Amino acid sequence: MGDVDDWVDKAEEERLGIIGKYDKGREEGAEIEPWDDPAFEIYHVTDHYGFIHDQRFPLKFNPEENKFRFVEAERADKWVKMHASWDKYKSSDKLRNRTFKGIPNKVRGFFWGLFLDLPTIKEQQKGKYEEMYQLARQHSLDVRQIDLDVNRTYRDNIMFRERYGVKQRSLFNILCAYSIYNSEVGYCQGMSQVAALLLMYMDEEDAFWGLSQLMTHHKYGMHGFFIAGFPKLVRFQKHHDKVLKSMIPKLKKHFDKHGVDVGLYTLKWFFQCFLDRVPFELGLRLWDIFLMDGDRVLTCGAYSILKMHHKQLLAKKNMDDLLDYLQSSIPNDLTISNDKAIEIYQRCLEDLQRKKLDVAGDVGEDELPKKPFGLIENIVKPIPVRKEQRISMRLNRTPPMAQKELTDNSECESREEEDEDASSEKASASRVTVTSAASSSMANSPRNISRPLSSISNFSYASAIEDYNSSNKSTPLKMNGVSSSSNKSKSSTVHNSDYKVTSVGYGWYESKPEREEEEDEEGSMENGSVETVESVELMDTQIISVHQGPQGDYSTGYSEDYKVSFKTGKGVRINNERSGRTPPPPPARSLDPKPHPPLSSIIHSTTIPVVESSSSMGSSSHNGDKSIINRRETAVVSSARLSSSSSSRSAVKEHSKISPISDAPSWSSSSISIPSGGEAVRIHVPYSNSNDISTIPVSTTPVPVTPRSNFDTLKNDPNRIKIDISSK
Amino acid sequence: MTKAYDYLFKLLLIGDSGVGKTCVLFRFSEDAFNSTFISTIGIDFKIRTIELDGKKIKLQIWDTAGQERFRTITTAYYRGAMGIMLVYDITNEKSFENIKNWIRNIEEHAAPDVQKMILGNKCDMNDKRAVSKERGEQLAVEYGIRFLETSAKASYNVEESFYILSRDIKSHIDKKLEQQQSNSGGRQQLNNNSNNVVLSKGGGRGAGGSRG
Repeated sequence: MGDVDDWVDKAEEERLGIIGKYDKGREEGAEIEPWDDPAFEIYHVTDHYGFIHDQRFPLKFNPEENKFRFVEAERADKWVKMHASWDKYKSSDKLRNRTFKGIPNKVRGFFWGLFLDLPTIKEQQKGKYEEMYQLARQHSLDVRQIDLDVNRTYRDNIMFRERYGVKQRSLFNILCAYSIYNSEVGYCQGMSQVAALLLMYMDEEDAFWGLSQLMTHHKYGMHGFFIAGFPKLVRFQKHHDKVLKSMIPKLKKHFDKHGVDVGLYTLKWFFQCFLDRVPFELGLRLWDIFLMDGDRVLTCGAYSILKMHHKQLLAKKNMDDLLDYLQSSIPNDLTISNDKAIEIYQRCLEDLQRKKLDVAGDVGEDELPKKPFGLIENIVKPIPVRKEQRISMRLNRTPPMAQKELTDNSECESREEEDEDASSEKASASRVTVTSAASSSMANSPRNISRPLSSISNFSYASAIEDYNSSNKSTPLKMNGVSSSSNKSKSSTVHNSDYKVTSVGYGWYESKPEREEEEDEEGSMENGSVETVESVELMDTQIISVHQGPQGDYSTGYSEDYKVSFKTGKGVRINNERSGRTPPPPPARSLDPKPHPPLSSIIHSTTIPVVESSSSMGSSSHNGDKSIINRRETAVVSSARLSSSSSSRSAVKEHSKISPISDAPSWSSSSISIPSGGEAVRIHVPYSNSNDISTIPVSTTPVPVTPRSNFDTLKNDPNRIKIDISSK
Repeated sequence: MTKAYDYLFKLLLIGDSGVGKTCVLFRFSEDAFNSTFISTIGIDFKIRTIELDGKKIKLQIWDTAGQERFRTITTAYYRGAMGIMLVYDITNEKSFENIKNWIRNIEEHAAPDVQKMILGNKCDMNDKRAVSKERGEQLAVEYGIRFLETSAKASYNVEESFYILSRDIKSHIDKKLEQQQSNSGGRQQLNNNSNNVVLSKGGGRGAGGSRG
């Protein structure tokens, strides 16, 4: 086949290219990527936790740092040993004491996972995350807010630095999925930081369940913090006032005098367990304890922070200075060491326990979840679909809506009758007035909950989602010669063992809807006018059509109805009947661009550089050496994956059981060597272990991720678009 | 101790999430722009002292979370505000349409004589504009509120808008003071429709007894 010859040629070309580079040597103007160079600035300004600083760090660690790292390495061994007899240790004082000393960063993610009981919940909820994620893509009403906040979450950390980078996409995915899974909470600002913190230490699915545990496990109960009305926040603030009054009355009076209300400074303390309000490293230590001990850490932590700073606070003579001290000074410099701070915390905890003030009263009924989780799964349950189904959308304020189905529906039940209610109610921003049963189950879905739907129109769900999907925008996908970015119409298909979901290209409709006077959001929800009717012919299995219009500037030729036909397993055919323009066919689904690295390599390796989106990897603009390799890798793997996607799943499983070493943001730890007794030298070599040539970063900003998260991110992103190589 | 200011004005920034309230404030208070801001959770504030007609005015500017859910928290701060900036994003139509809702919110929760101003932010992004300047102006006229298009990023009109709003507040207060003085023979203190904000002209003392 010509294709194969082509690859052989390309590979040879690349081989010669590489040899050529070494022949030329550095002096003769060889092209050197910045991340190949130890002088690459980002290596010198990134700290132990991935935060990028304005200034370079000194080349050598100071003795304190040196010692800290040495001690941490020793402790990590102890933790690993402790894990070997976990049942013996899991509720022991030893574990407790060690947690107070701080979980070594290398193993932090792993033990956080144990504290959160992730292995159990993941076992119980197998496949649920994937399901929720898929549903969220089509139904989440919080996409816009999540997108706004992902763009503003830990951008000073290398993991979240790059817009639509791997971790940003994971963050987006889990927040969207959770907004569907827990319809009462949906998405609330503040959750993004929490989820991002988990993502610094875990892969996507673990972080999702971690978030879920934080929300609903009685130990943490963050659900009550984030639901509308914030009942738990109110309870904790009240209790905090009580603690203050009883333990540091002088400070309480001082605050009262200057109008420093508990609501002004405790919000982030309680919502995010002190993230952003204490130095990050101390925040981690508090999170260690939080995950072990639960929400009394919030009460006690709040008290200890005020206790350890009360003298400084009493010296501030007005509200501005007081708040500035609490919100800016403390996070920048605690003035005492973390160990000392934790010691004070422990003493404070004892004080509070003695006075029975360590628990913030009884859990209110209103703080607990009322609705079962993942209820929207009703939608996923078999829905009857007629041969011809008309989906009409209100495009003026309409995010794209899609119906989703399991392919293997065996039982179908009829539910058409109910949907009028469902959709005519506040059926949502998505406003699909659908004659399908899907909307009947919407009655139970989050969209039926009167959550504010602010600013949804004028925003394109799918385009936001697309942005996260095809993270490398610089390489527009080409599909059958039609550049998707040229007409802003994209199509994608999902094929995996569980689902067959097809989403169809969309175009924004030229005709601008007449705007009706809106009195308020509710009003606007009731009023949208139906702009377009798209008929969807469903032949065998019913699928989904996403028709979506982003803003006016995306107006393209699809101003007319067009017909979409589906066939099982055969992808999508789109006929634009009137204009005669044919939207591009969907590209094949992306599969993992590379096989899962062997366990041994994970345990011993510490860093594998990011594999950028496969859209860029499989880019058809193969004018560079890398893309040739990449194309080839993808091709091979994809066929393998097609035949057995389940085997790779078990690989992931197995992988998640292994020793935790690889979990932390380890590129920095990997780069540190600690000679015994001597001093370590700070040399960052983030990509020292790229054992897979396809992992040569293709984007300009390196985002190191651990192999596991990398793998899972790819795995969990079924909508990643991949080029169909065979068509080339 | 020299007095740090003659007036203390409390201002409030409101508007949909992501319109750039924090950026506008940051531009004004630090004269900087950072595209990687963190989202405001609940409420935050910044201080800047400006000078108007030879008087030092300390602006205490409250920045609010835009997400609807936080409105229960943020509306508590409306009452103490003497000036409110309503911010929308010129590239986001919905944020503009929501200005009406925000105004309704103000009517419900803020002092009746609070000074208001509408800002159409991100006007550096003209190519993505979704709301024309005329529509912004028209809305402002409708409500009898001042209007400016701003860009926190390009540092355009931000300074101006805060000065204009401050001037409005000052002249409003001066007028009220005059009235009070003529009524009650020179009492220095004025209660600005709120229990916790006590304005003292020339006294160098602000809300809650804060001192310069």
